[in-house]
Amino acid sequence: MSYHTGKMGVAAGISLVFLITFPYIFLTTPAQTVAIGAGLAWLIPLISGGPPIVMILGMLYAMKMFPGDLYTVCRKLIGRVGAWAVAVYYITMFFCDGVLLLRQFAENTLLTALPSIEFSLVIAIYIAVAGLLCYAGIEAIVRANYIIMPFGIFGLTLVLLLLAPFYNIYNILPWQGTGLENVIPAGFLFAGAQVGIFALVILAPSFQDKRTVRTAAIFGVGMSAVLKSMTVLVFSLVFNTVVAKEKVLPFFEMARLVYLSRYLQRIEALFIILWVILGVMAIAINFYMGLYLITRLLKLPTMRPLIPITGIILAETAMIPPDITTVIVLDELIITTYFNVGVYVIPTMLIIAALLKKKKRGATQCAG
Amino acid sequence: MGDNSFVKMFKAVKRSLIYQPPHLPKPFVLDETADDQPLPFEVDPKKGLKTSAKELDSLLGYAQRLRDFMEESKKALENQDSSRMKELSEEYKILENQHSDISPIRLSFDNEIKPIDRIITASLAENEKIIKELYFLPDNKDVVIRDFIIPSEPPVKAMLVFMDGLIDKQIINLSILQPLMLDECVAKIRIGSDLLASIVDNCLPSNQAKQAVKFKEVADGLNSGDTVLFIDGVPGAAVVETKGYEHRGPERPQIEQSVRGAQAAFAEALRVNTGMIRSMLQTNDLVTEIINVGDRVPVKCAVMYLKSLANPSLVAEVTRRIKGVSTDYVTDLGILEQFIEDHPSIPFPQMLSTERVDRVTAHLVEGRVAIILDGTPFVHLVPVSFFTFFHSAEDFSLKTPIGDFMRLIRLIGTIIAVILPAVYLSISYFHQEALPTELILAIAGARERVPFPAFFEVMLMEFSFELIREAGLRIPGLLGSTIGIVGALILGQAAVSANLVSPIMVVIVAITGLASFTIPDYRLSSAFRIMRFVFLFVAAVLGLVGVAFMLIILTVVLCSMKSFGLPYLVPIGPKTTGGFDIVRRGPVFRQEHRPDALNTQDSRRQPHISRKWIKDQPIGRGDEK
Repeated sequence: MSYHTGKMGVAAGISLVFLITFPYIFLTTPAQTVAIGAGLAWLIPLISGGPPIVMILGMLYAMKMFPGDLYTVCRKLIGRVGAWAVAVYYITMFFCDGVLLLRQFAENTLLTALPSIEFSLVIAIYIAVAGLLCYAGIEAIVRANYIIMPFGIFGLTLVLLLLAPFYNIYNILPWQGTGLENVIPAGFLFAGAQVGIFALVILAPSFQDKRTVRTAAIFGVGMSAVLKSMTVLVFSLVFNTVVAKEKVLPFFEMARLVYLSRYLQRIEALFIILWVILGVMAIAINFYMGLYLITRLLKLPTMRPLIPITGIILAETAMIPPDITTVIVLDELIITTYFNVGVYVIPTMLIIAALLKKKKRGATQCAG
Repeated sequence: MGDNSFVKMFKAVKRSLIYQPPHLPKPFVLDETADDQPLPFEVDPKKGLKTSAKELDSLLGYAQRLRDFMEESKKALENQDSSRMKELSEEYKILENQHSDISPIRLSFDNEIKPIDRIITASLAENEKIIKELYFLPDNKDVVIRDFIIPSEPPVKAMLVFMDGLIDKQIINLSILQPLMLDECVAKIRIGSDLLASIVDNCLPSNQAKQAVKFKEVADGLNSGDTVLFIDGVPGAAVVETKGYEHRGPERPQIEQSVRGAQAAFAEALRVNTGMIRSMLQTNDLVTEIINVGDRVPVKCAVMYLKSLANPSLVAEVTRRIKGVSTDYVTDLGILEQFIEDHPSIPFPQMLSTERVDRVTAHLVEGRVAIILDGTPFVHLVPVSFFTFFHSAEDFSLKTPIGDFMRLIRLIGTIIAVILPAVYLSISYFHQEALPTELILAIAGARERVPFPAFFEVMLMEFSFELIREAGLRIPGLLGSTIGIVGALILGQAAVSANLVSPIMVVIVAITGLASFTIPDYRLSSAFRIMRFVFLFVAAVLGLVGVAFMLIILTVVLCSMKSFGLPYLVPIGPKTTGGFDIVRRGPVFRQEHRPDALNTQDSRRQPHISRKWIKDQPIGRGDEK
């Protein structure tokens, strides 16, 4: 039997990680990636998937010595204040990610699907749906995503394949792009986009065991990175670097370019369903994770009363930036700076603290 | 002084001219009942008197009988009648038995409690009085009380009570009255403390006869068609099985018709239904638990399962929920379902409802639990997953590819039934570029003459379709389907001719309607009909974005649901070992395991190689090459 109440399995874990890291592909990220790496841009998503996996494996090693979820481990390793600081960081990180996704997906909706609708209404609808999903709980969200994920991957792959007639190998020349010295650091820098992977260690007790978390982390981020890399590659193949980096909505543009016959053309509208679903679920997951940590931190019995209030605050925050360009710039800035703290600094600190404590404990035991 | 002629004439003219209403009694008005719950400190002054009167009545009855006995004894002693003396000694024993019933504490207690909670007394007259009080005799004409005398040595007074219309008169005459009044078995009766047991053992050739001590047991027996035998001097009664009420027998399935497979459907009688299941599952492993549901009018509810398969905690949960229902009366299994299901406010069914016996047996063998309610020709099965509702009875009677294809058609039909009108509306409102130019021009041309927005068109057609569907159900017999088809054809044609709707809309709604009929479960189909309207509204406002929102909300809601502890979207959400009976229906010989999520006591259905003959040497010389 492979289901237990409150015990999520590998499928749920993969779904959670994929959901939180993948939807960037429907935003401007591919264009930003191409702008950095040119012909070698496809390597950036692959590299950026590496550090979070390594860090989470390190965290799991630390959690092996000091069991519990992230907050409990932090309390054991760096004290109550430190644990609070880490929790507050991740709360702001998740909410920040949620707000940025909310604004960008709302803008996408305005640009591509509903140009006449009131902007604040789109934001309100997105956050309302995300709130509803939060109300259903993390298990329902990840299960739903597990069901939808194959359709998403199939849809994306289909678009990439249908663009085959437009592939132009010369578009990704020179092979080295802007050079490895630019691409590799960019890959490490954009690892911040995968910071959501740490949801696995925050929700660690909800998973069946450490092995489940490890497998979910590797396969979730791995699959997400490979798909992102493929998309960036196809994006570079069909548009040359100069054109590609100017695109605000790469996936939409790619779907729009599809033309196999007069009966199979302009399929971008049909893919609205795909990116709206993945987008709203990513927002919901971020929303849920932030609320979960607040509930955990303040020892509240349930998060449900917080959902409407937090939803309103997030929606209001998402409407603060004056335009989409500001949001895109802000998103890149936050991913490459603030989110990287969650990927590199906090896990490293916790791993070192765990090793030191282990050493100290070993010394005490020997002395005793 | 009398009226003069002028006044008389005036009155006569007045009477003839002015309307006088007839003098009728006041019309009936259903008044509000007085609050039957007394206030906390309010004391009913008559209650004590009533109790005392009842006590006195009982004491007087006993005193009268005692007086008669003493007079008879005096006569017998005067006449030195030894045979009469012997009879009187038995009479004395009866009186002695009754004496315990009239102790002050017992009398007071008995008169305070409801008749149904009372214990059967040794006095036949007292028992008759309680029966009359319990069943409101003589107003209630259904209950028949038959007094008679058992010609034993000495003769014993007895009373039969039964419910006319529920019993088989032949059984009463031949199995109770004849043996007790005429047969020689009466001679075997041991007059004494074990009189009732002696009668049950020797004189009642009935297949079921048990002793009752309380009037609750008596009432349960009477209400279900049994006959109750009371004997004077015995503080108990015999409940004899004499059921003989009219009920419909098994017939062909009306709703779940199939080309292949068994053609037996359930009837209303509980025992007929349990018998049908048992006749198909002939094993001692099949257990039937009976639970009474309903406080005011109890209805029998059977819970059936295979003891060695069904998860014990599942069985315990099902019985716990059924026993935990407190209501007046449960008329239908659909009502009981709402009392015991996990999510009563969500329109999706959480139990599989079937009228087919073969379907129930197939699910019982998978480890599910069947719930059967007396008076309902359907059986519910728990727990189920969403995909169970797409399975039909004959899936396994047909070959694998055909079964697969049919299931695929049903799933595609479901998707079309839910989202096709919404997608059409979205594309025609917001995303025209998604259609090829020729098609969009054709649609635009067809819609040119229609003066309404597409949303109005689709709602008009959908609403008309629902009207026809509902009317077709309500019109009796064959007329319903005929009127439905004719109505749909005429209405569609007329609506197009009148430029109320475009032909493309008729096509869309017709396809949607047809697709909705591919969903095998009526309740699931109804739930999706509701969802279709929600999808339509959202699509009219938000286009495909709205459709996407609704799809994700629907999926998450389905993922959060449970059917008796089983996740609704199992085995895909959460992921469990699927097997070959979810969307696809695999070969029967490759279905080694029962559904993983059911957590049955024995998960294996058959060995890895179930077709052992393929390993054996064929009979004869085999295929010579």
